[in-house]
Amino acid sequence: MSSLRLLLVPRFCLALLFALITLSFAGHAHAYAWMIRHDYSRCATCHLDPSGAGLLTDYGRDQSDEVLRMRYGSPSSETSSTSGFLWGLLKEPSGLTLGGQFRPMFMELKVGSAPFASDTVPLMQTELQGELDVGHFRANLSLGIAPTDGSGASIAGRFISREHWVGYGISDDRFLLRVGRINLPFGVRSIEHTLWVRRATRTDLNDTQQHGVALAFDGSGIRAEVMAIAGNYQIRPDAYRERGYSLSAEYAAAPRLGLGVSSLAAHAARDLLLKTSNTRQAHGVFARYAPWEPLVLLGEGDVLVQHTPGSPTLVGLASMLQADVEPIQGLHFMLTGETYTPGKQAQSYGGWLGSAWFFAPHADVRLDFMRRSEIFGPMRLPVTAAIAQLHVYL
Amino acid sequence: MSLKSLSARLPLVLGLALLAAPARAVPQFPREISNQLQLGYDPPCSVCHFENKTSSVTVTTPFGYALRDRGLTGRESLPGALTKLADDHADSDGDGVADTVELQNGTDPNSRANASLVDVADPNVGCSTAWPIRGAATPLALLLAASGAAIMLTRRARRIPR
Repeated sequence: MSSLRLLLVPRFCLALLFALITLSFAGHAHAYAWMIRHDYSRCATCHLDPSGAGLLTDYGRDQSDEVLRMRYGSPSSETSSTSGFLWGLLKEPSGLTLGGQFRPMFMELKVGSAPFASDTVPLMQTELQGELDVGHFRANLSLGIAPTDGSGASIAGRFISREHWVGYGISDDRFLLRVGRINLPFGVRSIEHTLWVRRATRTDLNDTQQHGVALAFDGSGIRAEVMAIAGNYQIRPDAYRERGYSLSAEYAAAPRLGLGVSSLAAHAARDLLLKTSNTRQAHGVFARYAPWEPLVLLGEGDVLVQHTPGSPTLVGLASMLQADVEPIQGLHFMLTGETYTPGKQAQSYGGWLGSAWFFAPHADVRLDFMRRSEIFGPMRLPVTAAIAQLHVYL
Repeated sequence: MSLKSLSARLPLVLGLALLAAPARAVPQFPREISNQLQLGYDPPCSVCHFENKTSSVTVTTPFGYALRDRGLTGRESLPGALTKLADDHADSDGDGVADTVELQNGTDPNSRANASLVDVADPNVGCSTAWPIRGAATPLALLLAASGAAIMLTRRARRIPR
């Protein structure tokens, strides 16, 4: 065994042990659509997924260190050795990219006239993800622990796999063909998975991924992905599985302006929420715009169509507008407004006030205050939540 | 075992490990709702929990919110919240039928489509649910095994001198 290997194996084992210990205390992908303020309209610059979120490329890790976290006066052009996997403790073998996430959460929730109720979710997000690139072939796998039973990403109890796919890069990776469980291409890929635009379209990063075949294109000025949905093969019976398509395309009209369209149509013999046959559609537009580096505006509007046999077709709307302000590098304040009208019901609306502090390499704390006025049948209920999260990216 | 062979065999081992059967949470609330409202069946978890994901933070269906609004914070507060819900004739889906009456009729208080709660069970989750035959291969296991095999074959082929 070479001296290099003698050195690497114990370090690999130690790093793996450290990762597992960290993860055992503490999952879903992260995506920061507001990185467009740094002229990053493409997602594939920093992420292995051409539509964004999840594993970071080496360049993405460097950028995370240089332009994402607070620098405390040190020049932002100097990449720290801690930007690598496990803060540089381990250099992955060539062709292998590793990452992981740990996100405990504390939440206070008040519904209607009831008092605040506290919830601590130590394993809100606990996930390890790896990708192996051999020539044109790519294999990606995420494994984690869900904070709930019954997750659609479950592979055994709370043991989950949100993503697992094999892919083939074509034409210098401008095209990527993937087969497996994949994030649905739709709208602004945002970490706020409970936003109505994500929840109503069922396109969040939490656990609404589906099995299918996807083709992504990443060209100069335009990125797009279309996916044929075969269903989520981690739920049963088959009647609950949706079949259809989802697509998204974004055009970089300027270095700091992205304009996109999305479309989705899916049918399930037994809808997960309605428990009856349902064909749902969502068609929308989204935009990302940084008129000034410290300010990014993110917006999305989606028309929702729901057709259940024997009932009139319902047409609704979900929308979101978010302003992300970064007065000093690493400190963000987010103001979000959103609406949701599922059909004939009156409009639900809400607002979020959040802040995120990227205080160390690949580590941030986030505080959110959310207030919603939600319609349930004839009732309008105020829902108030205060959420604190720690997030670590390995 | 070398690092290379470890990384090549890991997907294969994981693929086999993932053939395990899924764990299920022990239902407690459904039985208590059934007993109090004399339903004759246990309502599925998804009556209260969004997308059937069970934890205290997922009690976010319209019916779940209606119970929280009436004081539901845990098991001990469930009877009071249910009584208040019945007294208020709360109708979470706005279909004109009160939630407790819907449950007694065996229909979903969250769905205007009046989906049956008696005939339709919540979905099972987990890899072993992917195929009808318990323990059979799943897409994930197949992907992992195929990846591992492809990598091993690629590396073996490289070792063969020309």
